[in-house]
Amino acid sequence: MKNALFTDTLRRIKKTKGRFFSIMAIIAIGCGFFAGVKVTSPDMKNTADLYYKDKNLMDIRLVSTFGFDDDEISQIKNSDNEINGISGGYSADMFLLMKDGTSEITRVYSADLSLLNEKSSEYISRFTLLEGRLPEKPNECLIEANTPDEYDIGDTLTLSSGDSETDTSDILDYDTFTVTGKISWVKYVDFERGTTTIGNGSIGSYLVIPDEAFAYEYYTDVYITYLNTAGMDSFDEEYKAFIEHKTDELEKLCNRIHSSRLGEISDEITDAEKELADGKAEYNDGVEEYESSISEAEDEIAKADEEIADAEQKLVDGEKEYNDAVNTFNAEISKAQKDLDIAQWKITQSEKELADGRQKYEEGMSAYNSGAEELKRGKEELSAKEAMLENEAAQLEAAKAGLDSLAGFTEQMYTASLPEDSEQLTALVNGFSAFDTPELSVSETAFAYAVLSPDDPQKTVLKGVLESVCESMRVKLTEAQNTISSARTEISAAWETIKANEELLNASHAELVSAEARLNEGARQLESGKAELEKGRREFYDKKAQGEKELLNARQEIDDGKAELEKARTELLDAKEEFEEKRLEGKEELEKAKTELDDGQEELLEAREDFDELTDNLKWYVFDRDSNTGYASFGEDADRVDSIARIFPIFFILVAALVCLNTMTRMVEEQRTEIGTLKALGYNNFTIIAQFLFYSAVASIIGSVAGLLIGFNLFPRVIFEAYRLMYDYPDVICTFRMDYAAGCILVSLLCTCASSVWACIKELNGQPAQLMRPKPPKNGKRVLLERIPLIWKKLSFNAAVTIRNISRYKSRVLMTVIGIGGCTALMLTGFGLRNAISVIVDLQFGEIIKYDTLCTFSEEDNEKYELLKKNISETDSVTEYMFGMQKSVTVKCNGKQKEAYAIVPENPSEISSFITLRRRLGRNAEHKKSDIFSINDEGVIINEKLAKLLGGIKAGDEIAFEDTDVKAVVTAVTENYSQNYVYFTPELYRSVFGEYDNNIFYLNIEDNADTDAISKEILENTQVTSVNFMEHAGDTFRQLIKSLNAIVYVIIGSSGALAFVVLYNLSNINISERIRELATIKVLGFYDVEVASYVYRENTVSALLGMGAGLFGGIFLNRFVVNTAEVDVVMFYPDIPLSCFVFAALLTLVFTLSVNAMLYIKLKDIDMAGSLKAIE
Amino acid sequence: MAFVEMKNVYKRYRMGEVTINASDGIDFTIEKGEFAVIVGASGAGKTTVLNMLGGMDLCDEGNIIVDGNDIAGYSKKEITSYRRYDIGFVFQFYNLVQNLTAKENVELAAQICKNAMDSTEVLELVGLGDRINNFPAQLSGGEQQRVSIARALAKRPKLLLCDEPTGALDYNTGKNILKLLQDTCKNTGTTVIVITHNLAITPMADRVITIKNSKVDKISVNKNPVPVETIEW
Repeated sequence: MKNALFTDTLRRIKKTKGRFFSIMAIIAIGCGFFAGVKVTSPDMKNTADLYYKDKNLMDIRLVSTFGFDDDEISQIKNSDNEINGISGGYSADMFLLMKDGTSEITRVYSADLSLLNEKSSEYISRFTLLEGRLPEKPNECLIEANTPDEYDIGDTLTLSSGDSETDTSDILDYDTFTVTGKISWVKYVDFERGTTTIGNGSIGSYLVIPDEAFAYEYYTDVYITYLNTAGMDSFDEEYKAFIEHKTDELEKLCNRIHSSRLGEISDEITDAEKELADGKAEYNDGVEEYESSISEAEDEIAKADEEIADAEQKLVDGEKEYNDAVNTFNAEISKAQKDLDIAQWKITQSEKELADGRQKYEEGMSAYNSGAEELKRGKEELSAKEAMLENEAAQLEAAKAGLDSLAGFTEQMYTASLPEDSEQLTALVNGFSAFDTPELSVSETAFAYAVLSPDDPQKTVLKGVLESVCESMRVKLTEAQNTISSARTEISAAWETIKANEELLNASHAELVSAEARLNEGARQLESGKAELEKGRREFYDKKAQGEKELLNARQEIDDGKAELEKARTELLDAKEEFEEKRLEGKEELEKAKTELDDGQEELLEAREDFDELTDNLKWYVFDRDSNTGYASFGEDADRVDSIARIFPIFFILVAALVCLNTMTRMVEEQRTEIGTLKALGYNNFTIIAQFLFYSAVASIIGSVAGLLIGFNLFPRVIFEAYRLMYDYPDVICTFRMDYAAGCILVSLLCTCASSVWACIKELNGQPAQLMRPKPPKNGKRVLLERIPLIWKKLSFNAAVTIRNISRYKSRVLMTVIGIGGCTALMLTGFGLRNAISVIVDLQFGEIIKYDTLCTFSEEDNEKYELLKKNISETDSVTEYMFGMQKSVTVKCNGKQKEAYAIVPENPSEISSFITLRRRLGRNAEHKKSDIFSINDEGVIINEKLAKLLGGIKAGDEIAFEDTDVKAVVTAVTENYSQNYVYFTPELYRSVFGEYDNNIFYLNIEDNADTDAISKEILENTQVTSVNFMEHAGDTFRQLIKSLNAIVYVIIGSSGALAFVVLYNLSNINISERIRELATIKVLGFYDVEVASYVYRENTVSALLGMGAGLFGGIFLNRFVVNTAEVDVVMFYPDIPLSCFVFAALLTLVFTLSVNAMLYIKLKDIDMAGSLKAIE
Repeated sequence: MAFVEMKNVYKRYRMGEVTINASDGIDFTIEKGEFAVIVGASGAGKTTVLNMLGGMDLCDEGNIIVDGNDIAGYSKKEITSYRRYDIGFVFQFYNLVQNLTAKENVELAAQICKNAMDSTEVLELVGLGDRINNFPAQLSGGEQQRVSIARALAKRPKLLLCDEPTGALDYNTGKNILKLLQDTCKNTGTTVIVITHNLAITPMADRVITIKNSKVDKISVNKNPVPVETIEW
């Protein structure tokens, strides 16, 4: 009997294999996803943990402010018998010179070569040699495998000290190393290399050199592993508690371990102090002695000085006397000379005067002689003139007589006439010829006139002519008579003058005679004067010669005295010099002693101070694995996966369980006739239930095992592989976790079995007869909407039918809505997450960071800095530049603290050309002026993520910093996606941290500029340590995005699969449940398409409802996931763009449509006849 | 030419290696406007014949000529159109859509027809004028069957096919339904074919086709069919 039942069950499975497989698939997906995602985090941690153990990763790294020596290390080991391995090592941050001339900061570690080949417990944090060989010589090194192609095996690299105060040789014995191999190191599980205090603060790589190469005296680090941790999970609380406990223990050990070395130093200092005190006393004695001898010598010198001064005074007096005598003598001499000279001058003057007198006499004599001559000549001339005048007067008398005769003739002839040949007439007329003129011949006229008879009229005319001639002649005569009389007056005046001159001449002659007599007297007197002068001169010369001789003697005496004094003085000077020399010598010696003492004292003070500081600050820094960002963030990432795993898979399981419940219920309902029959045949309830239980159990066990097998391997692998883009771990170890497996199988069994049992019990309550009758189809009901005829009447028939159907199968619609909604929400989250990550590269490196190049430099002095600035501004293709400072700071607020970069632009107003500070608005939104921030002295600007990390800082809040007590006000919160920044003005930074030195500069370069050339040109400035072009900066980001993309695709893929299965299954149930109805409408002549649309309408409506719910719920799910997936240095774009909604909706639609397409085939194949007769 | 003509129609079902002939060379004709009854024992193959005639099932061999068209050669689409425009079905279990009211069930058929009757009118015709807004669950079996008939009639079918229309009904209700069918036939001139295993109702038919072992056993034409009220069983 049982066998028949069993056969029936198997047959049922075969018959309903579609349903069986869909249950299996849903369970497989649900379990697979749930378990797969759930175990990802444990698998990640387990893989990491095994890796740590395999590589003997240190549990504790100990750093002392005092360093360690071997003795101290063994003391530490002896202090705790739980310590498994302990080893000391050196580390230093140095500049690694890159091939292109830039330098990168590298952390140099030491390795004990003797340990490298053994699996000793002292060989802590082992390397994995990937290529090449281990170093054998002190100047060989290992580099990390992830160092970009810059260096390869066989290359030689150069290291230099990180700060200008320390020489490379203080740190290392060599500065060049040959690369012998490439390693990956458990110490670095991510690609973050940490920060440092040198350069730009960011370490680029690590390298390992033999410990002999270090020049340090003491170990900088001590690495410890414990015996007990071998059995603990590194990510477990137990491990953490243990390490915490050990940390406390170690911290207490500090003073004890260092006590002997500290004691030695303290003793040394005390000894030195004693010695110094002795030295001081000796010095003081020396000073006293020196001072007394100096004062003695000084007294002697003063005495000698005095003597010399006396002698000098005497000499000066003598000199004065001598000078007075000289002066007197000279005055006398010059006076006598002067008198002589005057006498001489007077004689000369007299001689000159005499000569002048003689000459004047001579001249007077000659003037007299010439005057007498002239007078004689004047007398003669005047007598001649007088004679000529008398002659002229006689002529004039004659002319006058002639004229009178003419006038008489005329008068006479007027009444008379004379014959022509009369002699009288001729005589008369000839007399008149004297009056002839060229124009008129008076004689002829008179002749003619005389000839004419008196009565001749012509006569009157001629008479007129002759009369006019007479008249004019008379005028002329009168004139001449006047002339003669004036000449006569003149001549008589001249006679007067000559007479006066003659008298004068005579008087001068007399004077001349007397002058001659005077001249002769003068000459006699001059002669006697000359003789007197000659006598005086002789006397003068005699006197002068005598005085001069006397003076010369006096001079000699004085000069002798002077020479003597000079000699005495020279002697004294020599003595003084000698004294000074001796004094200086003594002083110098004393000063030297003093300096030595002071130096000693200072050194000692310093040593004491150092020692005090050392003892005051003597501290051990105990670092556990979590203090390495890699371990901590890997743990966090694993936890993050876990927190995503907390919500996602439950969703899957929930949807799967709901669908299973629905399906099983439906199946039981379909089998009610059989249940009735079996019951009627006498089978008990248990047996009947067992039949269904078997069905569901088989489905769920097969489904869950398959799902688990796939899930356990697929999800951890995909997700871990994604994270391996950011971490350096070996392949993930996928373990089949029995606990999860058992849990999943149990839950799925419970879901399916409980639902079948529940459905069975519901059916079994009825009587067999009742059961054997077909279950009446669910009755139709009016929906609420029908009560509003206004709307209902307007609906098309089809719409009305759809609405009624939906309200009829509420539970199934609800199921579909939950299923589809969940899947849509997941897909939206997937797309949203993908967008959240992918857009930030463009935003960060396209809009926020606008500079093309970031260069770091180490400033040496102001002059060089200015030169650098000038060089940069003159570099080709550089369009803009801005200097500033970048430094790591720890920001504290609301009890939280986070690392961030302080950015301090030298000229804050220029920052907008290099970095955009703005409020985050929607994508592509227009930024108004008020959305753009500028830095000012009132406060700092921090980025959004930092504000969030520190507990939601808003503008106006105050933040604090480590290493300073000054707080700063946040003036704005700016949009930024990568790294955390605090923007300061130089003044504000100075007021918060004290000092401020530029160490970076930003450049904007021309488009299409040759970056290699620019880089080369900039690096010619030796201070520049690195040149980073921003076009490469997004690369690390893109890595991160890739790793998260994988997770996103897993989510989208799984959600899609689930959506598909859910929809298919539910639609399937829908069809089988309503097969009669569908057959009926087919019989009624509905075309296939119409039949399909009859079903699809409901399907589509519920899918759309689900989609809407999913899109809405997805917003919250996305927010949760984005928040969970974010790491500290990255902010994802928090808003979901429309395109994601569209994608999620489209994808849901695609699934809905493809499910519909599959259903179409099923609908087409409905056997009308068979379906309608089914109840018999 | 006869309105309905089945010529040598075969329908075979393959059950594993055994082939069962559900119709084994069926031959008959029915004239237009006739009230035909197909009788036979359970499993005789009546329903198969009706299904093939109604386009719900395809024959494997032979010709089925309805109103001059051989539907045996129809494509799937054509056969659906044939069902849609030419055939009205009435089932034993009514097959009403539970989620639709009486009127809506009629409309369901009417809306896909070109020349459908008004749903309310046709419901009044079958005597359900006052129940048009009731859901099937609110109606008795006879009333449901009336709705079913109304749904078939609303399409103004050429052929009304009824598969044991009274099978699920009590005597009087069954009689009323048969009366309705007979009246419809008479009043509208619709050709009605009724399948029944009840030989008692054969006198009301114009033509009686007896099927036995998947073959037509006997065809008798009733010159004077009696009204259903006069028949007792």
